[in-house]
Amino acid sequence: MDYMLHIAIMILINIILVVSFNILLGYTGIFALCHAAFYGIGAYTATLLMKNAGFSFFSAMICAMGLTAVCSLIIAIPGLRIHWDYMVIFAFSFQMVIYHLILNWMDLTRGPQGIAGIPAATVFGFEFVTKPSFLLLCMILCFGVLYFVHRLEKSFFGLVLQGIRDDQIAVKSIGKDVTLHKIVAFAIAAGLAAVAGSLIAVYISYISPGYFDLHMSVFIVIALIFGGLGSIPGAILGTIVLTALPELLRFIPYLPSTMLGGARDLIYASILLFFMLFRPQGIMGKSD
Amino acid sequence: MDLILSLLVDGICTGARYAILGMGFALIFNTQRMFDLSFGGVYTWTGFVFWLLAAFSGLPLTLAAVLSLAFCLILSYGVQKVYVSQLRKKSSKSVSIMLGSMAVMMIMEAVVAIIWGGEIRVARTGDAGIFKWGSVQISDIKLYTIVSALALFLLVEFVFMRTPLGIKSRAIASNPRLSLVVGLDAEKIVILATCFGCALVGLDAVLVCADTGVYPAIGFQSMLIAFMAVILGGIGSFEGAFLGGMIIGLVRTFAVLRFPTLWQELISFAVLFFIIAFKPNGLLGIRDWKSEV
Repeated sequence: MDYMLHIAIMILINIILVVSFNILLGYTGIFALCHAAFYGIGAYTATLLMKNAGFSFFSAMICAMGLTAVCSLIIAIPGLRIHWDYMVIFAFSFQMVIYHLILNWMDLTRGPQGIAGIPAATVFGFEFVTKPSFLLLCMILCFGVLYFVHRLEKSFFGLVLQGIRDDQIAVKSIGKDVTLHKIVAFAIAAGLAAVAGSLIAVYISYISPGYFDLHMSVFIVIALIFGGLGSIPGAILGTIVLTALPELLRFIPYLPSTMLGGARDLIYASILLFFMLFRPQGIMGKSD
Repeated sequence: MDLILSLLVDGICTGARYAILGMGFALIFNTQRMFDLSFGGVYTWTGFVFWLLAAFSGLPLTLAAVLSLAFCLILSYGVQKVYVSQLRKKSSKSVSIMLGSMAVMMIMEAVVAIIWGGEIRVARTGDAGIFKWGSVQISDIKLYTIVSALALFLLVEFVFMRTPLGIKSRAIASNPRLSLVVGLDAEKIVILATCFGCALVGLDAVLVCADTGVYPAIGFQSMLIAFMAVILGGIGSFEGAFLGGMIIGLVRTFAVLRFPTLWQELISFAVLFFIIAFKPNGLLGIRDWKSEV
């Protein structure tokens, strides 16, 4: 039962990540392979504020969202000046810079040892320590994020973003500032990733650089492509399947534990290749 | 002074390795104009096949190197034929090619990890031969690396400036539609150029396997370095890729003087980050890569 609750919590946290990445890739059409970097910045900011400065969970989370959104400007402002293909590598190198910064900045992040003993989330005197209560907190935040992204999709701002994806010159011709919209989309996506980062930090009460490496960014992309670009139900479906699938590997008898990592990568990569070859728009995707 | 000199030799060795990688990726990228990353998987497989032949079945290193390079050519041809040309047919978007070829690379690396595990495998069993020159010493593998980087640079320059194959592939790169009109078989030439690029990358895998060893994720690491070399040197230019690889090798080696070794990776990615932010065309780039809007 505990194990099922753990998987449910991980699914909810990952849904926040994948849905926020959907704003970038699904709606705006920006392919930035660095979402795990925003996730990591959010997690470390929330952790350090809660542990060293005594912030409460919600105030730490809001500060983490703000800082992550500001960090996204570092990549959005120069990145959107250059050609699309370059943006991909730019985001890629941002991911690696942040990962190595977390790994090597010993004074702040304690490097590869990670930070342990993160206090539990406390809201109005109630501590979310047990798994069922934490599941409730995750559900509330996850539904909040989903509702926000749903409203965003239907809003005028969201429509402009989808216009940028389909034909940015047309959007520019009706007098919309394409670059500004892209920058704001980046900041929103990064801020929402910080929500997931704060949650994972207080849930496991220990964070280390390994959670925020390139594999995580690739996982987010695969989950989104599996479900379908630009579709919230698709993002949810993709996350559930891709989070639960590697867990099934544990139930295969005689599979040595050293093969688990390789087998997981093999499954993810095969899914990605299959979708790229036969259904690039994903299961529930609308646009190609 | 001795330290500086030996760092310089070390930096040139590392730079020569990166220059080979950069030229290999430049060949692939300049002809396809797509981020085809499947060469990372070819890298890992070539390294492991070399290890199997040399350390496991005890063939002499030179014979093993030739056989594993042949394997590298066949494998890259197969990958191109089976996956990448299919991907190109399905979609012309570069994001699908990039993700699809990344998936191919991940699959190839995962298979290696499942079969042989994650340890570092070194092909060389005996001691390395050391050449001494004053206070500077250099191992024979490192010397081979520098020599082969220079020789390959001349070979690539010759093939792509003088031979029909090179001229055709440059035509396809600069104007794909027009080259179809004049009757070039784009598919075939792209695959040939890609295999040639993969062979360069495979040669680096063989050299690394003989020197410091290979592990499943090394293909991915090398792919990143090749990327950096090409971007730094400028897309569309072989000289740039060579120069970019050299500079990254020297910067990484000399960074040891000021920073802890752990920061090497961070420094090289920071260099890449600033290059793209401030000079996206690279040092010798010829293509204009401004945003469309």
